[in-house]
Amino acid sequence: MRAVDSASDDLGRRDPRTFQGRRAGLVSRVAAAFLDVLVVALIVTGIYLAFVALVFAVSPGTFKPSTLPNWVLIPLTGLVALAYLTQGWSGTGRTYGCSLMGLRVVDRGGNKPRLRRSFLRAGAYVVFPAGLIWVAFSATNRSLQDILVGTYVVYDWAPHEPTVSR
Amino acid sequence: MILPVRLLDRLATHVVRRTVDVVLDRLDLTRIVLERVDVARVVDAVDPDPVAARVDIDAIIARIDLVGIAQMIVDEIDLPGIIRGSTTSMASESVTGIRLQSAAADERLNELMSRLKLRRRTDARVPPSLPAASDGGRDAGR
Repeated sequence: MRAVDSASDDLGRRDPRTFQGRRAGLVSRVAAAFLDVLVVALIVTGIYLAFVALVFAVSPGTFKPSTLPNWVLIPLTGLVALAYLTQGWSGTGRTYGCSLMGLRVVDRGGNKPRLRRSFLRAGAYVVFPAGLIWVAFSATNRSLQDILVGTYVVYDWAPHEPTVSR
Repeated sequence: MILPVRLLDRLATHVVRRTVDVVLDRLDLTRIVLERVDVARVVDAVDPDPVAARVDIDAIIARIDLVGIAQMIVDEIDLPGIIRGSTTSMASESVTGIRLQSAAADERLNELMSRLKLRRRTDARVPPSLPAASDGGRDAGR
């Protein structure tokens, strides 16, 4: 117990390498998720602006800028998030937010999740993002989505080193 | 009487000139000055201000390719590289700081949740590294 407390007190002064391969907690993961939300918002904004520019180019005379209706905006945001998260996790195990916060998604074997698992995980986050909060209650720092698809999120601050140590 | 005096005077002048010329030709005046003259004292005695006041600095600057010199210096010291390196270093330190603080906050939150009995206490000293096969069962039981 005392050892746990002292270990916790030392965290602020620790070498970043001591975190390598350990499971990430809620604060880091929420920060990464927040950055990913920003990225998705930027992509959706870019798509909207491109669409508006296309409409203006086709019929400049009758062009009238308008906001996207919810029945377009919500599915579009969901699809963009699904594609962005799936690509990030299956490609490198990291989205942009994960990369900045030094996190990596791994499967049970410590490898980056495959496409199917990444897609399911992304879908679970798009449908029920609040599942991330379970990290705070899980003794193994896993979200509901992690438990559902069999993944873990570890600190990985050294991108060129092995993701986790056995 | 006047004529011989003038003649003698011209003759003497000629002889002296020739003699001085011959003597000077055989002497290494530069070496003598270097060996026998205290140049530092001479320089100290000279007031440079009147000389400097007569120098047209603008004309000198106009003849210098300042842009070329500046470009050459920048190329030599790789200024863009230094700026790039320092910026990258600062950004990297900031990111490391944010990550460290987040990781510390993660641990504090875990500790708090454990104290509130909302989470099973885990030993923070042991890096879990790879998830063990039994981990899923722990969460499933909650």
